[in-house]
Amino acid sequence: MDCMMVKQLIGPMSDAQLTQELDDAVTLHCLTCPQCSQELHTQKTMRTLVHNHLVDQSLVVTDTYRSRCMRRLNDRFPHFHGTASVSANQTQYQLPIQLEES
Amino acid sequence: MQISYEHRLIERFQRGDHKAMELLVDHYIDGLLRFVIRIVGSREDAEDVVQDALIKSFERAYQFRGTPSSFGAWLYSIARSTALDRRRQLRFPFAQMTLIDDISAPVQPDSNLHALLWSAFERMSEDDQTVLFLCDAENMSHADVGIIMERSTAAISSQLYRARRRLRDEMARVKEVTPWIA
Repeated sequence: MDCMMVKQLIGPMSDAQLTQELDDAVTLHCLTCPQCSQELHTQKTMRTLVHNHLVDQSLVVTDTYRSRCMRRLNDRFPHFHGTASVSANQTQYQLPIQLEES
Repeated sequence: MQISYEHRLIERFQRGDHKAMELLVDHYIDGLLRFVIRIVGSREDAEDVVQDALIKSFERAYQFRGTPSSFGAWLYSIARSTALDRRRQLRFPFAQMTLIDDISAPVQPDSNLHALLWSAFERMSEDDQTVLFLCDAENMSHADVGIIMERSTAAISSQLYRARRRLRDEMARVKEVTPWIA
């Protein structure tokens, strides 16, 4: 495997998207090639940096906003109310008359 | 969320199961907000966009025959196009938008590395930012990001590779011209 091919595989490798066989081949190449080894290191480092610093996990929706979304969805799909989990008493949605069996 | 489980939830939704819709909303809503807020720039606008995107997605979910893609990718794709429409209405370029409101608040205000990364990230193109955010920050698969950005999986892998290199180069450049970052 030459450097050109390895460079194409380094990105997917740092995302764990290679087969074991290809992963091993890239690893083997990087052991003896300082340039590719450096490139692999860069890709892994940048991935870790972005993951650790760019996501603000504290940025979540509020309960009020979630309720507002669910209310709008309920309004848009009113026929779903019969199975709504917000209902503690499912029987209130039963039909008021008994349908005849055919 | 595993695709097989997600597809079962979609099937339940298509049969009229409200609980399935709730579970899908709960699973995706926080990530969607974080994604959209980067595009439109303010929490208020992002909340409107996410709400619209959820409604559009569930309206179209009756036609969803997901295999092999995930509903999440589909949902993010709708959210992205809705957000881009909103941004066009607001008439702000992407780089300016990312500097305002909630998203400029640093997670670790004392970290030079954090500040350096943000400065470099804000100078990158929208496509680079999106691919880095979805693949590396939100851990989405290249295939799903391909659906969201309407590109092939191979194109996303290649763009991600180049985006990481550009981010590294940009960080090095910002560090050179910003003495306060040690």
